[in-house]
Amino acid sequence: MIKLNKKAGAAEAIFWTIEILFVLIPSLFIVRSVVDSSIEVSLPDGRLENYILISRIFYSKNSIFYMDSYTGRQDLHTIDINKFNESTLKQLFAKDNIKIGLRLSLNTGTINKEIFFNKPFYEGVIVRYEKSDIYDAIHQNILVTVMHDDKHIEKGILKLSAVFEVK
Amino acid sequence: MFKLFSSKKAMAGTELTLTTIISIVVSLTVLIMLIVFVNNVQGTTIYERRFLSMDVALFIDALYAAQGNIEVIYPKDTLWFSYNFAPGRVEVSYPQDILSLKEEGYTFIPDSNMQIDEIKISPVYNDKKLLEKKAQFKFLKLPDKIKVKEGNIIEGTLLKTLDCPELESAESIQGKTSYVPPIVDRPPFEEERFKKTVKESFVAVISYKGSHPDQNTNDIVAYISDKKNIKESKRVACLILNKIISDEKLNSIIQQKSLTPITGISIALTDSFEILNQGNKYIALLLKIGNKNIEKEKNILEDEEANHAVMEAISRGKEEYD
Repeated sequence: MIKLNKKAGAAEAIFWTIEILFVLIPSLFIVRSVVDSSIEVSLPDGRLENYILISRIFYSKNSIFYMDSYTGRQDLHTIDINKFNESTLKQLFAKDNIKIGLRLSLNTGTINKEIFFNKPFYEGVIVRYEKSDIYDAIHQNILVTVMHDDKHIEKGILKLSAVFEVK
Repeated sequence: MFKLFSSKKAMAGTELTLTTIISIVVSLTVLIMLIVFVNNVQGTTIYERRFLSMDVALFIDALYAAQGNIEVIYPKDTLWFSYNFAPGRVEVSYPQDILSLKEEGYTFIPDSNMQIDEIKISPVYNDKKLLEKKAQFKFLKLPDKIKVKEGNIIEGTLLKTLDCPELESAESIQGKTSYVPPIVDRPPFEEERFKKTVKESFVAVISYKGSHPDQNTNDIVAYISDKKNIKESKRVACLILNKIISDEKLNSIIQQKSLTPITGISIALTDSFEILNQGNKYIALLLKIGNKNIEKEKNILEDEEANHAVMEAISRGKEEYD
C-alpha cells in the first residue's frame, strides 16, 4: 500500500521496535511498581516493627538483663554484667544484613562500657536520620542496677540508641 | 487516493499521518495492557497475602520479646492461604491465584537461642477445589524454642516440670511406713485416728479435691510445712508433681475423654495445716488436686481411670525419692 524503499523500510521497522520496547515494557514496570507501592503504603509502616524489636532487648530472657536461675524470672531493671556484650546482641538479632543498628552504653561508678550491634549501619545512619524519612531512631535513658559476678549490685544508667530503616 | 500516495507533496503529509496512527495504536495497546493488568491485580490476593505475611512475622517477633512460656492460637482469619514458616521468613501462598504464583513473604528476625519450627500449614480443599477448612495454627513458646503447630486447640502442653532439689544426705524412705490414701473431698483433720496414722508414718501424702470458681483452672498444689524437713518434703512434692504432669497414661486419658487438662503445678510452704507439723514424722505433704467446680464430664476428679493414674503417679514420684 505504502511504497517505501528497502532502506527506509528497515529504518522504520527498527524505529518502531525501539519505540515499542521503550514505551511498552517500561510502562508495565512502572504500573507494577505503582501498584506494589500503593499496597505497601496502605499496610502499617515499619515503626511498629521497630518498637517490637526494641522490646526484645528489654523483655527477652536472652537479653542483657539478669535472670534468676531458680525462679526463671528476669529482673527487668538489673543488667547482668556477664551478658552485657555484643555477642548477646548478635544472638538476639540473628540475621544478616538487617537494617537495625544499636548502641548501648552503661555508666556506673566503676563501669563505662559501650556496646554496638551492626556498628557500621548505626554510625552511617545516626548522623543523617533526622534529615530523612527512610530512617527512624529511638533514644532512651534508663536507670538500672548492675549485677556483678559476686552478686554485688551497683547503680547506673543505660543509654540506648537504636536506628532503623523504615520499611 | 492512489494519486495522493504517488505525489511527493502528499507523501510528506502521509508519513506524518502514519506516524500519528502508529503512535496512537502503540499508546492504545499500552493503555489496554495497563487496564487489563490493573484489573487483574484487583482480582488477585497480593494485598491480603502481603498483609498476612507481615502480621504473622510481627507476631513471631513479638513472641521472641515476650516473657515466659506461651501457648497462643494465631487469632486472625487465615483466608484461603498456605503458610510456610521458613528460616527468618513467613511466606503466604495461594496456588489458585494464577496471576501471582509467587509467594508473598515478610521477614522476622530470629533469636539464635530460640529455634523456630520450619513447617508449611495449608488449608484443606475438597475434590471440587472448594475450601473445606482454613489453615489454623498456634505457637508454643518454650524456654529454648518456638513450636508452630497445626490446629486451634490449647493443649496445656506448656507445663514445665520443676527442678527438684537434690539432697546431700538424706535418710532412705525405702521400707519405711508410708501413708498415701486415695483422693478425698476433705482430709478428716479432726479425726484422732487420722492424726495418729499421719504422725506414725515416715512419709504421708494426703490428697484432696481442690476448688476454684474458675472452671478453666485445674491446678495441683502441694502444701508442705514451713517448719519441718522443708528440703526433704519439697523434694518429694516436686518428684510427685513432675510425675503427675508427665504421666503418659494420665495425659492420654485426658486427651481421649476430653477432660480438662492440668493447668498448673506449684509447691507452697505453709503453716496453715497443723497436720503437717505433727510428731516426729519425716515427710508430710497435702496435695490439693484439681477443681471440683469443673463439670463432671470433663473433671479428672470424677473419672475413675484418671484418679487411678494420678494415684499411680504419686506412688512413682514417692519411690523416686531415694
